[in-house]
Amino acid sequence: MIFLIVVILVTISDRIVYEYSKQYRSTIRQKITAFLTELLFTDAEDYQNRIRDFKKQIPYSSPWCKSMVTGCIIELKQNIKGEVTAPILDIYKSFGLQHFSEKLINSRRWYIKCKGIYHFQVLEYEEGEGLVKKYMNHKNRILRSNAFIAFISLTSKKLDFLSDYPYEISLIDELKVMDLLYHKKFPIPKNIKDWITAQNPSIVKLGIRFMVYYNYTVEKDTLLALLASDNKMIRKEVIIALQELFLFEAEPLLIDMFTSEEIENKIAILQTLAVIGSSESIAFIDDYLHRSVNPATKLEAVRTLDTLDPSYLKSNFKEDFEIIKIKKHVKNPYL
Amino acid sequence: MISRYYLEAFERFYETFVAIFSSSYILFYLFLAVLSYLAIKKHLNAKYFIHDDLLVKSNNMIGVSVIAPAYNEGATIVSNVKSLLSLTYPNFEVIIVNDGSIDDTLEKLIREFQLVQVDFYYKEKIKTRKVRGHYKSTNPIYAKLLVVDKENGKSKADASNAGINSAKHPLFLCTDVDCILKKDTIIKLAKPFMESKRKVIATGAGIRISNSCEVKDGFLVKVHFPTNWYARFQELEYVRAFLFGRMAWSQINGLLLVSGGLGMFDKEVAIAAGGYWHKSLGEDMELITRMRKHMYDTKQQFSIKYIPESLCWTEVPANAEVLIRQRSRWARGLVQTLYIHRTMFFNPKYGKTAFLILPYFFSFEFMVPILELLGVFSLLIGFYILDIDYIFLFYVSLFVYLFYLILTLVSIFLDEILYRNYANLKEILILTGMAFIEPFAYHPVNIYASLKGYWQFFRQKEQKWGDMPRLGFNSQNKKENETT
Repeated sequence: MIFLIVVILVTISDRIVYEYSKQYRSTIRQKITAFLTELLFTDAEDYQNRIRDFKKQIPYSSPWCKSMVTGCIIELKQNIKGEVTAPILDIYKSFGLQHFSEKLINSRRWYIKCKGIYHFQVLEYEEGEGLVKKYMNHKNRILRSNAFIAFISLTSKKLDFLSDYPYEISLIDELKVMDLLYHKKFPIPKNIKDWITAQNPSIVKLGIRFMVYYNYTVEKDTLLALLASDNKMIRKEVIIALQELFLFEAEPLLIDMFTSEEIENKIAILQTLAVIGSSESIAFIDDYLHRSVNPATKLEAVRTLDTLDPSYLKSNFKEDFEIIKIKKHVKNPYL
Repeated sequence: MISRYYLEAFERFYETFVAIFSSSYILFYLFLAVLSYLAIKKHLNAKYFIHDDLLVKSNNMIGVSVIAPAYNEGATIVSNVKSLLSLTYPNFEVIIVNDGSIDDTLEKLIREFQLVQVDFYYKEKIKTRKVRGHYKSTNPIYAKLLVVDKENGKSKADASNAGINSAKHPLFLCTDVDCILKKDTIIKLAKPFMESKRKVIATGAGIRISNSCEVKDGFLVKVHFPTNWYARFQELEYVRAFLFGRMAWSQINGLLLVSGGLGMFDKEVAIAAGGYWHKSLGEDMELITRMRKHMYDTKQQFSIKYIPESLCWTEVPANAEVLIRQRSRWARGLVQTLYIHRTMFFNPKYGKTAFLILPYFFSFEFMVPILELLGVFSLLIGFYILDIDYIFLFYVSLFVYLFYLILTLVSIFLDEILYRNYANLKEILILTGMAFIEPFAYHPVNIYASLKGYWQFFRQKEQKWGDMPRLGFNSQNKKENETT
């Protein structure tokens, strides 16, 4: 009974406190946003004085207020584009908020560390690189992953060292790294061969993506050798890369491996053959269509054939009811 | 004398049984509470892990097919489809399956979205009623839309299966066409498929009640607390079920149910498991059970994840008649699923599904309505024929009542501190008040509906689509709805 009353009272009092602080914090937030916008268009030399005065107008010493100011700065950075974003890091530093983020990173709790790392990453505080780096080998997967991405985002060094990175990188992290690659325009690692021959499949996949991004074909023999990898995701990555890199010499290899692959990779092979295939591919697909039973690969095979030689597709398979249906699907402009 | 002797023996047996059963029930719920707390904490701690804005821009996100079956939804279909098409995700399609509607659902879709019939290469990977045709828009703005027209299969499952057969992406999200999804629903549900080391086969998230919400053209403008009593009780139920039950099961990878209103699935696994079973009345639970079975049979490690966030708003029954019909259907679905998969019980091959999850559903979900009915009989016998220790009865009843209340109020508290879903203190106080009267005013209706469902199952009554009159969201209908 006592516990019941306590739960009710805590819920009600929490709400009352929340309602009260919501209004108060909302007013503070409005002040901060207005001040930051104004500051953005002020001479950088005035930052220190103006920020010193402003700190007196808000309860800046409270951690929640520092967190709110940091949040507002991040929001501002995410909402505006172009040259006007340049002073944002100076504003962050003039507030001394890097020390607040550092304090978060030095916290005992991993998820608070993540928050500090996030500040550094989003605000591109490059001086924080060293502090972030030490968490790249942390036992907590989420913290490690955050530190990994933040470090790549902050570092101005080449990424060559990553060839030895021992941890698995999730698909989401791969997307993040590729996004950073596009934005930061990292030079291709000099040891790219080490990447694509690394023990860590995640690094191999990233290496292949680097090669595609830079249209780098010097290591094409190593790349082709990866078609024999035991890891089906690596094989798929190579198959897609062959298409992007226009490596026509891969055609016979792809045809040879086709039968032993699973459906997902078979579809990838057919898509690649649509780009690098020749008459050899047409003959192969013709033969395959007479034997295939899987609707997904059949559909892709007809699509590939249509790309390689539309007239061949038109003049063949006239008796095959199934293929005729697929042809109609492939030729339909709305599908 | 002899009959009195037997009645007393029965009462003694029943008392002992109920004492043991209730104790284990309470202990189990405490265990679930701890698990739920851990799961929610884990989710909240990881919120700085990945930022959606990056994912929205990426071309490499796994493709998702959003499948929404529609049966006689002419009144709202256009705005509902527009709402689904406006979801934020870089690689998705919306598949509306017109399940032989006898109103103007298809005509409205054709007219509004400039649809034409196309030669779609359709393969029946899961058997369904005849598909009459596929439609695509000639307007590039609606390029993501595919409409599948089929004969009525008397079940949502059959319609969903036709959608799965037509889906081109490796993941599919099943929803109801009238459900309102949050813009970032696909990203939130797809993320676990891309983050997790272990193969994720399904994900789900919280569902809330849209009965009193402001909705314009299929988009949620403002969330309001339900004003209808039945809807309020269901709000209470949903908060408790999603925060306490599902999150706890998710923490130990023991989810047996991902709501039909909102669930994302691995298409390959769903097809390999045979898709939704068209005769099932609890097709969502049945599919998850079969997918789990398939993964065990093929010796693959898997996980099913739940996200403690409300991503979907749905209209719930606003009167006793519709509520009883819906809950009877759910109860039939439960007993049907347990019966069909009875061979999985205590079979070592199926691990925790066999030894923990299914026994839990049998003992605490299926058996409770029956035991409560027996309890009523037992009390009546006690009142009229035997001597009852009323003081003891009072204390036991009070204990059970308080336990239930604590559970419900902790759910409200958790929901409040985590999400602040309610507009003001008044709404929280109303919900708290509802918790006090729920066991007397609402719970008996639910028990009656469950028992009715069991009865219908054992009598093998014919199934049909769960018709729920949609009151829509325009203000006039809403007022009628709320006063029902």
